[in-house]
Amino acid sequence: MNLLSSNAKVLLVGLVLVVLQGCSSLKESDYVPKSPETLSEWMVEGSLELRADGVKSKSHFYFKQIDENYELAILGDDPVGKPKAVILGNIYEPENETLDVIGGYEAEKVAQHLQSVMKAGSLSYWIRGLPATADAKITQQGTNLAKKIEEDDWKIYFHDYMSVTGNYKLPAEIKFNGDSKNLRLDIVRAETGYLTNPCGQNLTDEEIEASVEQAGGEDVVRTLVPRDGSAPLPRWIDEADFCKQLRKIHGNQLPDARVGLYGPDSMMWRLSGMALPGSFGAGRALLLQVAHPWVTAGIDEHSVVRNDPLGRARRTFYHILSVTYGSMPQVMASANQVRDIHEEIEGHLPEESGAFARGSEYRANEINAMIWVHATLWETIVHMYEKMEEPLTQQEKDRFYEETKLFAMLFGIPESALPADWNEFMDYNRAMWASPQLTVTPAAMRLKDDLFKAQSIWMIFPMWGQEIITSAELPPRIRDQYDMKYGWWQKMNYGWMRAGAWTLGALLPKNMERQAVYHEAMARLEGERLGGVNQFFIEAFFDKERLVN
Amino acid sequence: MRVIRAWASIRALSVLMLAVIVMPAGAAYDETEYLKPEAFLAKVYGENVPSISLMPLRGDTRKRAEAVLGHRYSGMRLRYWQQDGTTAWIIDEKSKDMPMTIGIGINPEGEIAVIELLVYREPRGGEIHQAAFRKQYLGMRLTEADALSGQVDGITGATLFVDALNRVAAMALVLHQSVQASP
Repeated sequence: MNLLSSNAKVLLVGLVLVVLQGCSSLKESDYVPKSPETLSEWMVEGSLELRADGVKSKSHFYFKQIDENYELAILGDDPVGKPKAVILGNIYEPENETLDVIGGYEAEKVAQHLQSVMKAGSLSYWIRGLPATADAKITQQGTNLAKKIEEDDWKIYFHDYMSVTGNYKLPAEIKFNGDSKNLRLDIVRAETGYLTNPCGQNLTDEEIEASVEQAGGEDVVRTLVPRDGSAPLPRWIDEADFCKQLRKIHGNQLPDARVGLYGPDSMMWRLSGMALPGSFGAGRALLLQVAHPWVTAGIDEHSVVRNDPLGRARRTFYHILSVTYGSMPQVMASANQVRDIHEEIEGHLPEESGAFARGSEYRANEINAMIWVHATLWETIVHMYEKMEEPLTQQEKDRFYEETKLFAMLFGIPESALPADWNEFMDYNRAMWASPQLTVTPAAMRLKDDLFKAQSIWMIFPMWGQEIITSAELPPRIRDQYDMKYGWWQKMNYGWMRAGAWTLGALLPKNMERQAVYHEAMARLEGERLGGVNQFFIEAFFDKERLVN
Repeated sequence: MRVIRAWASIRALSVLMLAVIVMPAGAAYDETEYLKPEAFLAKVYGENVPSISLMPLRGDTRKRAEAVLGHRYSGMRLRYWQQDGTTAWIIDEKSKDMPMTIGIGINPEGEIAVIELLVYREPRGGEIHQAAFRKQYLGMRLTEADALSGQVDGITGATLFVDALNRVAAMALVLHQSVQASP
């Protein structure tokens, strides 16, 4: 009883803190969703329960549509299993539906039961909260969201909507009521694009195949960091180069779209799944990135980061985590979105900056600059993991590095332009730390000041702590260029912060050692929705209902 | 027992503190809803708004629509409204990173009668919402080559957004022609 009481006090304190922080951060902000009519490649998965003709049928299912063709797969008791029966059809010819039975009598019975009460082709619309025909009577709730549709002797109620990739909202709970029949669909998750093609369809196959990979030469490190301290020759990446790399991943290397690029057995999930190394290393990775004058110029001249540094950090980590933990369609959606954002970032350097001449051209979609941004992430995560968690063997580092190559390819960087293995990768990092390619410009200094500036009273301590941690972990030459101190005061504070972090790690429940997006990805692999405290963290930090589910 | 209680309380407090620390206030969406669809339809039809019609986007109409868009149209059908030869369209089109939602009303003579920006989802470039800019489109028709019949003066720094609006305006005119030509 006393225990309950003390926890209730803690809960009360927490609620007061949350109220002070602002109710806006409790759940995802509202937005006007895109019309689901604009989906041409999509799928949802969940469970169905049908009662009709005195019979009850239950099964997990998925519904997938690629252009005009749809398939409703009956999965049976396993939410992520292979289809046991599939209803196939064309939305323009619903009378020609066919049933393909793969796994037995039970699945066939469920499929036939469903077909006895409706055409699966109509579900193509109803599942998205759309009318199947112009004769439907629709009751709306806000722009693009149906509350009730009356059509084909059904009254269809949409009780809950879920936010999914691409600014869509799709129904999560649908109840169909008819004469002596009813159907309930509980939707767990959805994909909203990139099911058949990894990139936009503006290019022909010939144009993509004609793209020539820009390899790194015999000595990749010296191509990236010339010995004489000069800037490397720019290697621009166009849409065809980008699509060529995406196709390699999408088409050849990864068999399971649900798992995505990596999966729970990967080094990537092991290292980036832990909450502490990532949060301790974020400032280091960001400051190493903006020490590159191209990155600074791109952010300074094109990004809203000056007004909203936290927003940029949130968007950056949104894409990094989507690529790392997302399903294959989510990975491809994120890669394409990042490319589109980068495509607009180009200009000329406003001043001479280390190895780069004043007026020289820069673009975000350039191999050398992107390899540097990529390197800061992976070198930092290994550096911090070894400090905060445990040392890694050479074999583990090599394996991790091989995995990061897939990540690089998603930005259009060919594997041949990258250092070959972990040791060569570290040679590259050390060469960059000493190279005039990394030069902290006045704009980079402003970005650093903005980054560590607390945006609210609650951020004063985290930002102060992040600055000390970053100061401790940056390579000394770069730290000095940023005018960051690392004397006895910083060393003392860093010491107790690390001790505090380890203590916090011991106190936190075991499942909170790993960050929320890791848990969200695990829920996807099980065919479940995320819930509880991890759902709360995702909505609170990313202002999104879901990232990778 | 006391130690266990204290440990449980500290653990719960740790979770809550962590929750509060990671919560940045404020929305992640750069979005402005200028006009509700109902308000747009009222501008086109007044009080008597017709019910929704559905157009499968296939064959020649799809080819023409995608030609004026310059890319594949994502979606298999379009919802629109028609009454006495006047059609109204609400179309999403990507300008930079995110789509904007545009409403276009076309009169029986095949001229743009209403053009409205309904939802804008970018942090910059919202100048195309200005009435003076949108006024340029009024009265424009479709040429033989499926282009807009007039020139649109762009807005400095908002080229992508103006281009997107031009594409959607031409697409709506193509779709209007298709509706007019259907029996």
